Formats: sequence, C-alpha cells, structure tokens
Amino acid sequence: MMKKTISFLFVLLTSLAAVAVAAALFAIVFFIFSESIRAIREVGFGLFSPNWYPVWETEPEFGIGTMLLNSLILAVWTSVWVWILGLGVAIYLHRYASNRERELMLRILEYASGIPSVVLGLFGVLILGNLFLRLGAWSAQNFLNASIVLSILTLPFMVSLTFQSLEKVPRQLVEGAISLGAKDFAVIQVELKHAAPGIVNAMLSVFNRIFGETMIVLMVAGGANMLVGSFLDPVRPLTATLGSEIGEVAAGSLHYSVLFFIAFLVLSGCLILNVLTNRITRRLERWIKG
Amino acid sequence: MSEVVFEIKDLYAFYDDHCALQNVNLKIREKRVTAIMGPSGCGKSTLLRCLNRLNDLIPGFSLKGQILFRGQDIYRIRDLTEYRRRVTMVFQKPNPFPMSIFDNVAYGLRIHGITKKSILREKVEHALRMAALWDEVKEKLKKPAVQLSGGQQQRLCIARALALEPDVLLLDEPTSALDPIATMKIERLLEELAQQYTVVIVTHSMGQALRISDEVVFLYEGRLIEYGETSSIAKTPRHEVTKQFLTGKIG
Amino acid sequence: MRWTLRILSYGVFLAMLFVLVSIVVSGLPYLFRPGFFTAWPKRAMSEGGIFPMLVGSLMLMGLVFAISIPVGLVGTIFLSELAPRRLSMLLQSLAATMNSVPSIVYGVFGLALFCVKLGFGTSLLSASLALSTMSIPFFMNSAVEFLRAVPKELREGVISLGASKFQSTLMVLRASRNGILTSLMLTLGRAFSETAPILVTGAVFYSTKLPDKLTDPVMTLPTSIYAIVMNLGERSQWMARGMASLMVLIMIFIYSVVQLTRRNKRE
Ligand SMILES: Nc1ncnc2c1ncn2[C@@H]1O[C@H](COP(=O)(O)OP(=O)(O)O)[C@@H](O)[C@H]1O
Ligand SMILES: [Mg+2]
Repeated sequence: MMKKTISFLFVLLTSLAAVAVAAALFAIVFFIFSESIRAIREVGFGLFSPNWYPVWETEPEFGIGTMLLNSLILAVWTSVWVWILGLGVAIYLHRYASNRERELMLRILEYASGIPSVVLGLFGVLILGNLFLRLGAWSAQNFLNASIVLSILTLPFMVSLTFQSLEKVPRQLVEGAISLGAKDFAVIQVELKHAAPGIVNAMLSVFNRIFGETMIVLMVAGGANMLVGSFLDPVRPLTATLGSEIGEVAAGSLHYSVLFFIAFLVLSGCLILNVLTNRITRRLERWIKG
Repeated sequence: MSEVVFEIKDLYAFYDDHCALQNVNLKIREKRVTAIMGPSGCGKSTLLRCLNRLNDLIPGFSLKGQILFRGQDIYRIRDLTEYRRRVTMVFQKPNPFPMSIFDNVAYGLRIHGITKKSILREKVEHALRMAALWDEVKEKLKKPAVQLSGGQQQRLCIARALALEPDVLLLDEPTSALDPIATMKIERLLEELAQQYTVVIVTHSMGQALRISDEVVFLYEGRLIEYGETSSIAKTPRHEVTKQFLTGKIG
Repeated sequence: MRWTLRILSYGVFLAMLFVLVSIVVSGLPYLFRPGFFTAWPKRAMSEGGIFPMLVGSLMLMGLVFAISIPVGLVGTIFLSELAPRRLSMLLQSLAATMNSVPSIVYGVFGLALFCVKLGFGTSLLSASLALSTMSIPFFMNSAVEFLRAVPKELREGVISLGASKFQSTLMVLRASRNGILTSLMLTLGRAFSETAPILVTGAVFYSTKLPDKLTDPVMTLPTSIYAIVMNLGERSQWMARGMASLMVLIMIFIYSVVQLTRRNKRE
C-alpha cells in the first residue's frame, strides 16, 4: 500500500512539473496578448505608423512602423553575414582543419558563445565605438556597430550547430561519393545536402536570436527612431524601445499596453519562425530521402 | 520426472500488431537447463522476457494465453518485486550498474530491504564465489564495475542475480558478446549452477546447447516447432527446420 | 577552396579571440584594486567596489537554482522515464520553443505577472521567478537528452532485479550524472549572463543596502554594467570594465567545467 502511494505521488509530481512548463508557454502568450488588447483597440492601425512620440502630452503617437522596419533590416542584413561566415568556418572545421586546429577553434568559439550579451554591449560601446569615432563616424553607436556585435553574439552558435550537423552526415555517403571520383567541391555539396535540415535550423535560429536580442541593440544601435539610410546611422529596433521604456512606464497606461503589443509582436515572430523551422526541416528531410 | 516450474499455455505475444509468438505451449522443469534456440528474430528473447514480465515495459506490447509459475498465473501477480527476486534475468550485453563492484552485487539485496553491513558482505562474497569471480575481484571490490573486462562484467551480472538467491535464472544469449575463453568460463559456471537452480538460456549456438542443456526448445517464426531432451533431438530431429538448423543451413 | 576557407576561419577565430582577450584584459587590472570585491561603490560608481552587485547576483542565482533545478529535474524525469512517447515529444518541443523565445519576453511577462498582477513589485523575488521561467525549459531541454542516452539495458537490468520505477529512475540519474552536471552548468551560465529579464523585473541601479527580504530590489553585475555604460561618464567606466572582465572569466570557468566533463565521459 505504502509503495503504491509513493509511486503514485512520484508520477503525479513529475507530470505536474512537466505540464507546468507547457502551461507556462501558454501563460506567457496569454498574458502578453491580454495586456496588449488595449493598444490594439485604442490605437489600431496607428500602431504601424512611423512616428513614436509616446510621452507627448497633447497628442501622443504610438507608431512602431519605423522600429519594426529597422529591426527587420538589421536582422536580415546581420543574419546573411553570419550565415555565410558561419557556414564557411563550419565547412573548414569539418573538412580541412587538423585535429588540433579544430579543438582549439571550437574551444575558443565555445568560450566566445558564453560572453554575456551585456558584456558584448559594453565591448560595442567602449571598444568598437571608440574605433568608429576615430575613423570619423559621427556617432559611436550605429547600425554597423550593432550589426558587428550581433554577429559576434551569434557566429559561435551558427558555427557549432552547422559543424555538428555536418559531422552527423553518415561516413559511407561521403566515401561513396569519393569512390565515384567526386572532387572536393562535389563532396561538400553531398554533405551540405544531407546536413541541410540542421543547417536551415541553425540559420533560422540565428535570425530569431538577432531579431529578439535586446541588450546589444539597446546599448549599441544608437537609439534614433529614423529609418536606416546608411551603415553609420544610429537606429532603434523594436526590442531596444521595449527594453528601455518598459521599466519606466506606469503599469496600465496606454503606453504600457503598446509596449506589450511590441512584446507580443516579438513573441509571435519567434513562434511563427519556430513553426516555419519545423515545416522546412521536415520537408528537407523528406527531400533528402528522395 | 522433476517438478514443473513454468507452464506456458497457448501463448501469443504482440508488439503492436506484429505477432512475435504464436500458440506456444511449453513446460520448464526444475533444476534443469532448458535452452531456447532458433534463428534470430524468431521470438527467443520475447519468450524469455515474458517469463520475467520485462515486456511490460515496452509500450504496445500485449499478450494472450497463460504463464503459470509453480501453478500461479504470473500476469495476475501483484507483488512483482518479490516475483522478480525469484525469477531473475541476465542480458545479452553485460549491463553493470555505474557503481562499485560490491555495490553492484549488493544492489538487488538492498532494494529487497537487506541493509545490514555484515549480512551484505557475506552474501556478496557468496554470490561472487558462485559466479567464479571472487578470486579475480576480491582485492578491488570498491572499484567501478565498468573497469572489468566483458567476461568479468557478465559474471558480475550473474553474481548480481544469484545474490538474490533466486529460484530460476533466465539468461539471454549471455555469451554472444564475449570471446571464446570467457564463454567457456561462463558455460562451466552454468553447469555448476544447474545443480541448484532452474536455468533457462537463450542461445544461438547449437554447440553451446549440446554442451550445457538438458532440454531444448526450437522456435521458428514465433512458433514452437520442436521441444524435448537435447540429446535425442540432436540425434533425431523430427522437423525439417530443426534439421537445417543442426546442419548449419540456418543460423 | 581550402585556402579561402582557411583564411576566413582564421579571420573569424582571431576576431573572437580579440573580443575575448580585449574584454578580459581591459578589466583585469581593476579586479586587483584593493576593495574591488568587498567595498560598496562610491561617488556615482567612480570609486569603491562591486560588493553589492556581486552579492546581489549570487542571491539571484541561489534563488533561481533553488526554484528551477528541482522543478526542471523532476520535469525531465517525467519526459524521459514516465511519459508516453507522443506526450514526451510534444512537451519537449514545447520546451524547445520556450528556449527560443527572446529573453526580453520573459522580462515583460515577469513584469506583468509577478511584479504587477501578483504584486511582488520590482524585486529579487520577481526577478528570480522570471529567470526561472526561462531556465526551467532550458535545463529540461538539455538534461533530457542525457537521460534518454542512458541505454535501456540499464533500466531493464534494474527492473529485472525487482526494482520499482522510482529505483530505476535513481539508477538512470546516477548513470547520467555527468550530463546532468553539464546541464546544470549551462543553465547556471545562461541565468547568470541574462540581463534583460532582470533589468525589467528586479534591478535597481543604485541602492544603499543589500536586499534583506525577497521583495526588495537588487543590484546585479549585468544590470550595473548596463547602467554604468549607458548613464555614467568616463570616470565610472573602469568599474563596468572590471565587472565585464569578471563575468567573462566566470563564464570561461563554467564552460571549462563543461568541456572537462565532456572529455571525462569520452574516456
Ligand atoms: N521492442 C520491440 N518492438 C517491436 N518489435 C519487436 C520488439 N522486440 C522484438 N520485436 C520483434 O519481435 C520479433 C522477435 O524478436 P526477438 O524476440 O527479439 O527475437 P530473437 O531474440 O529470437 O532474435 C522480431 O521480429 C522483432 O522484430
Ligand atoms: Mg534476442
């Protein structure tokens, strides 16, 4: 009897913990959405206008259009660089690097992946920023600076995920291709094809991380709410506004609600990207099987 | 004729829809070595694991028919802990627990409530002696068990089972992962054990069955096709498949 | 092909090395200033030390661990040992999704739920709950792989001797203890280095005392780095550099432990 009770409690407790995690995800979506309802009702399509004057006394404007565009431009531009560089490094580590080279590089990359984002923000402001000023930029914090620091944040991640999926490609496949006389380039093509689901997963995760990253853009991007026109323009992405204003706004105000709407956008972007990733990787897996 | 330990009646076993055993009827006798043979995939492990109710762990597994252990239907047993103490199992791949040699053998005793140091020490030594391992490990009982060689690990697993002073010992191809010398040691050990225990062993090798078993059961595609005294079946197999198996055409 | 990639890789490698080294080196000397670890900051953080931030971060980590490790471990056990396969896969993909949610979202969620709805205010408690909401799925996602990697022969071996599910679970935990340690360290690193959720739910830039109850706000290392870099002048920057250097050294330590456990396992 005693034993029965214990095992029942054991199952109950563990299942509760697991279910709590699932419930937390729904709670997050629910809370953030319900707090942003007011903004949707009262501001409506005005939310996507370009002007953001949330604390203007007479006629506050809550347009996130510019910030959203800046966020997207920054994320796309940076992701493309990280994808290309990361893929190149991963292929090198996988195919050409000697064991010692590989160990050393992976280790340093792992350490770099552990640098907290706020510390990278400091690096961007104090070290890269000074460099920018010395080179004649008019603002130490700008689009390019943010893009570089975001690349530093996500490159280690891109390399290690891509490298892992390349390493998982079955040996026989590659040896088969080589025995048929395939040249280097063709061999890499075979490997890339078979690692495609993992690589696409890595690419979309990188985009997701850049789009949602807050501390770095808050510190390094410059904070001006204007559409980016050149690399040295200061910009303000969505998450920067969210991070800097949410702590200071009165709970329950319209401004508060609009900030929650921004959080809701960021969250939905992430969830949609997740669904997309699953879809694409599944389709790729089918494509590989032929 | 000695007493019947297991009586298997009209046994069918399924993994989801796949039927792994069909209409198996069989009696296993006390203090004898029964070998279960047949080509791979024929259901040997499934049959053996039914006897310990280990298939309960596999999702989608189901079973029809009856297995009686000394007259009692084992699928009606409430206290599996006690039942599994009496009918223990040794696996194909040695699976020492990630703990010291001593703790490995003592593990079963501890979960059955024996915690007194002096008794544990005595029983562990006894089990290791029976498994012919004592002399090799008595100096390093505190060392991790994974440091032993494959053959030693398998004997440790046998000792672990013997420590529970079981009634029946089930072994699933215990030597298939071992080299010839380790295999020989274990076969010799099993012959010794057969004087005290009921042993059911799945084996792939006809030679092994001939050397150590009293009775042999042939399975083919989930059906029992032949069953009787080892010596007589080896001499005059009745079934075509058994003949082919004996002459090495299937295996 | 080979040489292009080699040059590219060395470029990336050197850039990463430069970032690491320049952060550590630019703050290293300050770590040896007398009182850096034991004094309170003075004169708008231009003098003194980082004592309250250090203690604040430690308190926060302690609370996050106390909440998220038990819950995470128990949830992981359910995923790998008890749940039917379908359910387990579903829950795991939910946990993976939660892992990809940006950390600021956890901050905003924590603000709405813990600070405002539940009335904990800007406090140590709110911050640790917000961080735990993020850390639990992170831990589960990492640890469940290690538990799943335990061969099923081991579970069957334990069960076949008459053990209960509970006892077999203990054995699985024992067999995967290196992996669990790895997951613990990674979770620690993640929680330690996150800034955005704390910034929103629990941090103050300056306080004259340590939090003495759970509902007091707290100063932490990452939020103070942010505050100094953004709000204070040249004369306070050394302290931010010192803290940044310290944080990177701690992260390097954490990852070294992870790498060591990984290597131990391979042998
Ligand atoms: N866990 C399982 N799930 C589904 N099918 C299984 C499982 N284990 C065994 N089978 C199937 O049951 C049949 C018998 O397997 P088994 O008893 O392991 O054979 P043997 O031990 O004689 O090689 C095989 O066809 C095998 O594919
Ligand atoms: Mg088998």
